[in-house]
Amino acid sequence: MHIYLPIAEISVPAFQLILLGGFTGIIAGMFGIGGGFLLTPILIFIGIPPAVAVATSANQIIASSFSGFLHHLRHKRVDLGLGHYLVAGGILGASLGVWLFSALNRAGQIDLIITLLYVTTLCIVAAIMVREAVSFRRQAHKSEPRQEEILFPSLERLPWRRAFARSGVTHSLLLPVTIGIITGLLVALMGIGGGFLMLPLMAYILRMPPGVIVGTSLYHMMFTTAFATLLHAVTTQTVDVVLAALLLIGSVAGAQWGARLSHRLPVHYLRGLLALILFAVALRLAYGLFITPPEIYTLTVIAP
Amino acid sequence: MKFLLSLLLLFAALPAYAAPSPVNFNLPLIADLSTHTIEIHANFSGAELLLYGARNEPGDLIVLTRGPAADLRLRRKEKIAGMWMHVESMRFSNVPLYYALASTAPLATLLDASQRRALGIGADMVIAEAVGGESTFNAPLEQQLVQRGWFSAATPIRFFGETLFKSTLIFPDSLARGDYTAEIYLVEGGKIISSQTIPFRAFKTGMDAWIFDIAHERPWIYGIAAIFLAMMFGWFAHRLMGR
Repeated sequence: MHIYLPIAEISVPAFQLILLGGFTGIIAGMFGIGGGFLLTPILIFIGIPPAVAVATSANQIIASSFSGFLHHLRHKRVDLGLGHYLVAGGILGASLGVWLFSALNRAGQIDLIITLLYVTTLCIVAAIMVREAVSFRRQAHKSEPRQEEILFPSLERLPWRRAFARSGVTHSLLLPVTIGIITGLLVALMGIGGGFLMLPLMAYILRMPPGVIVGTSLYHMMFTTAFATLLHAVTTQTVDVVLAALLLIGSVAGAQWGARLSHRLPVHYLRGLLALILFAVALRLAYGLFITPPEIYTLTVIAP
Repeated sequence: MKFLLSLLLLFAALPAYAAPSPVNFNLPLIADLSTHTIEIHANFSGAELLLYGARNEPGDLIVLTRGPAADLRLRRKEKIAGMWMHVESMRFSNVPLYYALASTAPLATLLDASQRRALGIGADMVIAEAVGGESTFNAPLEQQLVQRGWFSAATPIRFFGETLFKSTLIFPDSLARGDYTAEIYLVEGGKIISSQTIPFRAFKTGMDAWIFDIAHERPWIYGIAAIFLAMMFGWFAHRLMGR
């Protein structure tokens, strides 16, 4: 059954989109990182305009981060004190990101920038995953050591320091706000949650205990994606709720299944496979930039 | 039953008796469309309208159909450092989003250039006017518009005998909504003897048109609804996980 997407303005097979949502949901459920960076490129491949793919993807992530946040909140694994500053930064970053996005859209460069950002990000994420898979193999079942030592002593001299009781750390407020801004930018420009960047930053720069990292990042992600969705809806009008709903039906089901699968399958080795998929998607995106396009002219209707 | 029917017919005919008007059987040109609305629904795959009419004086016919106007931007890609990217663009103001022209003889032989310009007859002229002259983007724009089916050649005007004629207007699936007009000109000896303008409308229907309208006219409400929708799904997923 084909369904017409009102904002993307194309007709697509509904079932295929539900399956796509399910696929990214399984990935997110199994590996713990959102399928956002896989979802947006695939949407672009099937013909959804990149701008709509990004904004709708951000809309979709609200759901997974909200349900994840509720889960972690129930088990008291969220540092709300630090989270507020991350959210403040996220809102700043998302605003800046949407502003950049619409400026690039007007200049006709948004498709190019989105593609380049994705090629770069996918390669970085894939490289991280390969490294993790390899190091897991080496140190078999050793638990990950907590990052106790201070990596960047100069960061400790920044002003406006505050103690965060839940995480047991003291930081300048500039740190969580800056991390929030960076990930907020990624949410608005790429339609991803930014977990791949956020989690290491929280572990190594903010030195948060592992127990609260995921919950706190979801708290930040929930507000940032919601804010980015609202701004995209108001400034670029590229949020497609029908597309989001179809993807959500699939991803809600897929995430449950993925979480269950992760207990049974050797997930750490599957990471290697996922890394391969990510490299392949990055290559396919890059290929599109270098081949001669079928049409060198692009027509856009500016104002009716 | 028959009585009722004749009574009904009588009532239907009454206004004609109430306001007698001089009947002119010899209008030089009279035409109409098979329908005056095009409904763009979810599975819309284009439409065809039949234009039909009669001419009661000798002369050639021009049929010009125009859609709602909009500003367009055409961008050109070029290879830079191996990558294809947009490098140049041109803005065109007030370009009709539908334009179809048909005539019974070559246009240049019917009307002179200034008349054609005044009436907006000729796709290249319309495009040149939208950009204020000639540019390297004019021809590619026309090609793009033809490719989308927005600029099309109306099917040839066919005659039945000397007076009756018809033509078919073809609209693509990507048809813009708004107000359209079909203009019919009767031309003889380089002059327009008679003309008629028939307005018609294309409008979107259904759920997706409603969503599109809210997204563009009430973006704040739309954005909040989108957030709420996703949170509902998230809450539902959370409940599923709790089980």
